[in-house]
Parts: sequence; C-alpha cells; structure tokens
Amino acid sequence: MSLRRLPAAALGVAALCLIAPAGASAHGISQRADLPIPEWLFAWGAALVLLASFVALSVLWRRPVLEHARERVILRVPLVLEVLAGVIGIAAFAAVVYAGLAGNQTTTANLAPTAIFVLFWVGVPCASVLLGDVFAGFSPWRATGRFAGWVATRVAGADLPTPLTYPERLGRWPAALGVLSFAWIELVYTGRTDPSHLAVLALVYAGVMLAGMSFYGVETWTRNADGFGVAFGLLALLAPLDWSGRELRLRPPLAGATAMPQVAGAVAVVVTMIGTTTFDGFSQGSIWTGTNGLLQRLTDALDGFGLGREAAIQGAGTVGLLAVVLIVAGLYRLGVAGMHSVGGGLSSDDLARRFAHTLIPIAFAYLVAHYFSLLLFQGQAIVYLISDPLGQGSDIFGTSSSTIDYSLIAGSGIWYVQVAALVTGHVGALILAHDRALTLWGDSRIATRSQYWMLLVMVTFTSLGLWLLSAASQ
Amino acid sequence: MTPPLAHIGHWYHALLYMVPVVVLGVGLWWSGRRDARARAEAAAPGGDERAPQD
Repeated sequence: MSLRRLPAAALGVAALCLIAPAGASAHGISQRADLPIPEWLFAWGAALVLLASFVALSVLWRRPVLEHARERVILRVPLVLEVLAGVIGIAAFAAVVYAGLAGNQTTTANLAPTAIFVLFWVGVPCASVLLGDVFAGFSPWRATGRFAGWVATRVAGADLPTPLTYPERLGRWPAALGVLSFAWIELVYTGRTDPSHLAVLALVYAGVMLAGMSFYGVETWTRNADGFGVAFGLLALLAPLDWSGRELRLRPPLAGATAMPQVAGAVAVVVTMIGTTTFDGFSQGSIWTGTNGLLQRLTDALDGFGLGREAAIQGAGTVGLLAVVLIVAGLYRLGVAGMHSVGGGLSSDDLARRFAHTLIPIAFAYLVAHYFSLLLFQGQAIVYLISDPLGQGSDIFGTSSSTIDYSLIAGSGIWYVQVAALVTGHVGALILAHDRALTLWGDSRIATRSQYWMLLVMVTFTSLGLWLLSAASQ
Repeated sequence: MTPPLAHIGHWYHALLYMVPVVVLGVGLWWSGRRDARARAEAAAPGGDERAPQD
C-alpha cells in the first residue's frame, strides 16, 4: 500500500466499523451504552484536537509568552497562618495514623485508607492545581522539621551545626523513588488494604523525612527528597496562584511550570507520576488481569523460583509497574530525540530536562482521568469517616450515618470528564512545549518543526490514556 | 477464515486507538524523509542532478 493511500485506508476501516459497530464488537467488547459514538472514536477526535491545536500554535503563537509571564502580589500571608496550617497538617496526620493503628481493620470502615489513597493522593493534587502548593503549608513532616529547627536554634543558638551539603547529582531522584514506592504500595503491595500497615508505613515515611531534614536542612530535603512535596509542588506550578515566601501571587495558568528546576531526577519524578498512573489503568484491563493474562504468566514464572504465591504476585506487579514507567520514559525520550534532530547544539539530556515541565499537565490529566470517579464517589466516604474514624460506632460530628451518592454522575458523564481531562492536559503540554521551543530556537518555523515528534508523543499518550480507561471499564 | 474473525471483537478496538498514532507517525517519517532529501539535494555540489534519486 502506498503512503498516500494509508489515511484513506484508515478512514475506510473507521467507516466500516461505524457502519457495523455491533457486529464488529459482538464478542466481549462492551462500552458505555449511552455514548453516541464508539469509545475509540474519541481517541481519533482527541488526536484531531491536538493536531488543530498544534497548527494554531505554530501560526498564532510566534514568540514566547509563558516564559516571561509576570506575577502580581495579591496578598501577604501572616506568619500565624503558616503556623496554623502546620498544626492542622500534623493533627490530621496524627489522626490518620491513630485511626490506622487503633481502629477497625476493615478497609472501608477505617479513616486511614480513604484519607491516604483518596483525599491525600488524589484530592491534594487537585487542590494544588487549583490553589497552588497548599501541601507545603500543611505538610506534617515539614512543619515538624521547621518547629524542631526553631526549637534547636533557640536552645543551641550559634552552636547548632550547619546542615550537610546536599549531593547535587542526587537531585530529585529520592523524590522519584518516593513516588514510585507509594505507587507500589497502592498498586502492588498486598497489605495495602490493611489500615495498620498503612499507618506504620506513614510513620516510617515521616521518620525518613525528619532524618533527612536533620542532615540536609528542612527546605533542601523537602525540595529534593520528599516525594509528595515534590510531586504536589510540580502540579502546583500549573496553578494561577503562587505561595512564594509569605506572599500570595497571581500568574497566568501554566506559566509557573516554566520555572520547573532542571536538576537531576526532575524528569524521573514526572515520568514516574505518569507511569504509575498508566500502570494503574493497565493493571485493571484484561491484558493484565485476564485468564492467562500477563499477571498470571509472570506470577507463574516467579512462583517457579520458590518465592511463594503472594511474593510472586507482588513480584509480577513490581515488574509490570517498572516496565510501564520505563515505557513512558522511552516515549518521552523519543520526542526528545526528534527535537534533537532539529539541531541547535543542545544534547538530548539537556533537552529532556528543558522540556520536562511539558509532562506536568499530562501527569495531572492522567491523574484526573484515572481517579476522578474515585475522588467523586469514595471521597464522599470522608463525611461519615470523620465522624467515626476508628470504625467503632462513634458519631463525633453527627455525620456517621451519611452514605455515598452514586447517582451524582452517570457512566457517560465520567467518560466525558476523562476525555476532556486528557485532551486539555495534552493541549496544555503542547502549549508549554511550543513556548519553550520558541525560547530555545527563536525562529518560529524551526521551533514548530522541533515539536513534530513531541506532537506524536502527545497523541500517543492521549490514545494510550483513552485505551486504558476504556479497557479498564470493560 | 471464520475462527480469527469471530474473535476480532476481542482485540480490534485496541488497534483502532493506535490509528491516529500510526497515521501521524508515518506522516512525520515521510515528511522528514522528504526534508532530508531536499537538504541533500541543496547541499550536493553541482546542483540537483547529483542529489540522490528514488
């Protein structure tokens, strides 16, 4: 088949499937019944939106705008607010850990699992994108570290030893490891539904954070090694609000992302965020979970080494998780290699770091697409869990009898939100990439050409995301 | 003929998600090849007649 006929052939296949979609999907393929078109056609539409956005950017966006965006101070934040936020963060952490250790060990009856996996891991990122880096204020380990530092300064005065110099080459790799470890607990660890296990792990994490802060200083350690602080901080760069020092500043949305530090491990953090969410979607599909699926086969293979069934299942999950993260990293490097082919004297590693911020909106889009319904439905459980955090029949705030309203949104509504999140996130990524390319290459024609392969990467991520969501719902 | 087609519904939709990626990828590859050929023609001493031909 000649290349010229390829698009026509693709359209022909699509037309045939549209004519007889029921026949083509007679076996095993189901989709949300109230959608007007097949789910896969949304991927085609999303690709067209990205293509149109790319063309529009190349024609209408001729000079960098976001890189030089100005921030405007709109509020001075009093010290007491910082202290209050820290106290609330520590109190919430203590309540969750106590509930996990002392409460009912049924997953749904205990506050800890929902607070950690829904409110903390999904709710805080959403709040960060809307309101800026709120977690920095509420972080229990950062607040504890700062308080300990304040006390130590008062007691020891000038005798207090200066913090060690943080190794530059270590950069944000510890944060990437932190995100990967949390994802492993969430998606692979078989004890993830056990509230007491989660509470112990939370204490271990806080202990590691405090130990690191004591060696390298609170801010240095938080900026580089706190997986949650770094991940939420990156997402907050998309927000129109910036809490710098004790000032609240207003800036154009997305503009903050251009200030993402280009340090070692910075790419790894964002790639890990996308990769782990991708694995979450993939691990719910039939290719992974089906009879004789990848999970089954990997588990059988690892079981052959005498690990035991549970360890083999976790081993299989670990292999899958790492493989998907590496695939996402490979896709990004493909886009970078395409940019490198344009020239300009920048190495691939340098380009990878300079364009890493373009992955932030994708990471958020994947998070919303995969966890929106979890936050919407399971998030409601917090209303009764705060009244009965231990699951032992208490009714502290009089809300313990509330229930989850599953009629808030229909299945098709969730799908539309997921599609909108993925498309918006990837258009945001294209905007950031185009703006950075204009800064680096100057000439808008070369800048546009440099982004051809990034466009392919964006379309791939969008199609992949929609396929995973579709496969997970079947 | 019948058995593979009978099961096509199990996997064909996954391929449909890849169509935009494949179409765009092929388009970029073709466009890059054309640009490279044009550059080679422009760089070749003596003009277009020495440029590589398909």
